[in-house]
Amino acid sequence: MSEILENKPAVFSTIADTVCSKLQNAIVEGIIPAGSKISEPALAIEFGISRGPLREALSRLEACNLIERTPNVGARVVSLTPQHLVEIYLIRESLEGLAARMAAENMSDKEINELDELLEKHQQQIKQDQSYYQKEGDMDFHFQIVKGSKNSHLIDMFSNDLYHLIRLYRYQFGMVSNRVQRAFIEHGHIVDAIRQRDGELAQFLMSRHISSSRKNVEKMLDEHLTITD
Amino acid sequence: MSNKLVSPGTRFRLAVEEEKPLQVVGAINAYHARLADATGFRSLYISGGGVAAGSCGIPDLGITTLEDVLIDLRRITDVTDLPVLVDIDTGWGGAFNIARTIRSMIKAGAAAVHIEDQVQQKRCGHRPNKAIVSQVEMVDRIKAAVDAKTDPEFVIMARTDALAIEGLDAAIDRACACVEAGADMIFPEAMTELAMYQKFVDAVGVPVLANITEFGSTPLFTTEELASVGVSLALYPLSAFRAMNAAALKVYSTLREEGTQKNVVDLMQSRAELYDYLAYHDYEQKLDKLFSGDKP
Repeated sequence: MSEILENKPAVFSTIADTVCSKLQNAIVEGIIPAGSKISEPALAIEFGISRGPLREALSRLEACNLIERTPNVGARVVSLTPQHLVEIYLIRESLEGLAARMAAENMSDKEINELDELLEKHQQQIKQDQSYYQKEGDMDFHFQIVKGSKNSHLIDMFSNDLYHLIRLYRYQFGMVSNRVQRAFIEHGHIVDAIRQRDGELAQFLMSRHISSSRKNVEKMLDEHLTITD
Repeated sequence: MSNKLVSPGTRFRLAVEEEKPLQVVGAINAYHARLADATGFRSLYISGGGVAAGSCGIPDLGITTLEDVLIDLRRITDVTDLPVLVDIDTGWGGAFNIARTIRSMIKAGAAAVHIEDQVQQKRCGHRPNKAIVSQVEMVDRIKAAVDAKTDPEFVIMARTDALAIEGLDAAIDRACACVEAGADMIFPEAMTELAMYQKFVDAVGVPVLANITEFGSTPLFTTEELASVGVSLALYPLSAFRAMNAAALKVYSTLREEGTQKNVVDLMQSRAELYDYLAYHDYEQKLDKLFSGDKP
């Protein structure tokens, strides 16, 4: 995860890499708002680069589902909708359940210890300030387990198709605050199952963990919609 | 000009990646920054010698201060988005002064600075009798500068004047020690042969700048020649300044001698051109729009 989030100085990566990662963060943090139009000329001026590498960066953003391009209309940042959010949760229930099962089979003892260390770090962060955990810390945990599956297709689907989109929703919708402590306890149970090499249990716990989050979000959205109706 | 998505430091690094070598051109004042921007340059330079001579009318001997440079920098970053590399001489003091210099530079919109290893009582890099501090002291300067960065992508460039005093190998050693201490780019001052740059490039592993200043120790290598030895940035600190000075002198003396400027009007930029580069008419239209209702 850290290698994705780290803002490496530009001279050490290609131009499109740098621009892509800046735009990813700007979209996730809402500096470029969801649903807004992307202007190529304005971005080229802003970054001080030519159109070639900029288009390359935009293609990558399209590949990770953060922008949508329509012929003759141009590019837009994706719009956030409750339905879309629920769809992502449903896919994660299945995908990450599978990842947890495979992680129980394939993670090394050292990697499992690193998961423990990550949880320990999260516990400190929850005590100090929940916002980091809500925004990024939770994703670190899920990504570690997906990587632990050692299944390259699964890792690819998660890190390219879903990862930034999940970050986007997480950052802008937040985690329902009453869920944070509970979610942390569930993470602990999942790690226990992985350590015991019980793939079936790990899969079940992970699916149920994400499903609980989904139901919580649905409830929140329902209440919110009822109030605003 | 403030910018939410990318800092000037990022823009400078991107420009170094995209244009090889990146031409960094001296702007003696804000109007020249506009001229260079309109001409297509991707990066600007504020020379310490330029601030001393152009803004203060004194020689480049460590007399000007941080504030003198900041005044020129703020005026330039007010009118252009081009990333600006700033000459901060020796950083104007010890570790805390250097830290304050770095923070002030970032606040004023600089993209990059170069800090050198001359003694405080410095001289122009292309003049005799330079003196430099020890490698340890230079590395301390770099550490202080790097530690003070409030934007991780702000560029600290280490300049070494060691070639003329301690020779090529010692200069390269210094540059490597500076990179180790966190310098992002290297500026070997007053190189006399193209092959010297190649040696720096091979040794330091970060972008290297060539100072192609006129009437100095370095031949006027072309961008093609510099690219052939892996140089990443080509600097022209005072080229336009020297030309404008010669033109000014010509106009002054002609006026004085002939009692009219008629014979030198051809040298001058026209009023229309002056206005074009200032976007004068956009300003005028804005004024008309703002106050049209108040007209009698």
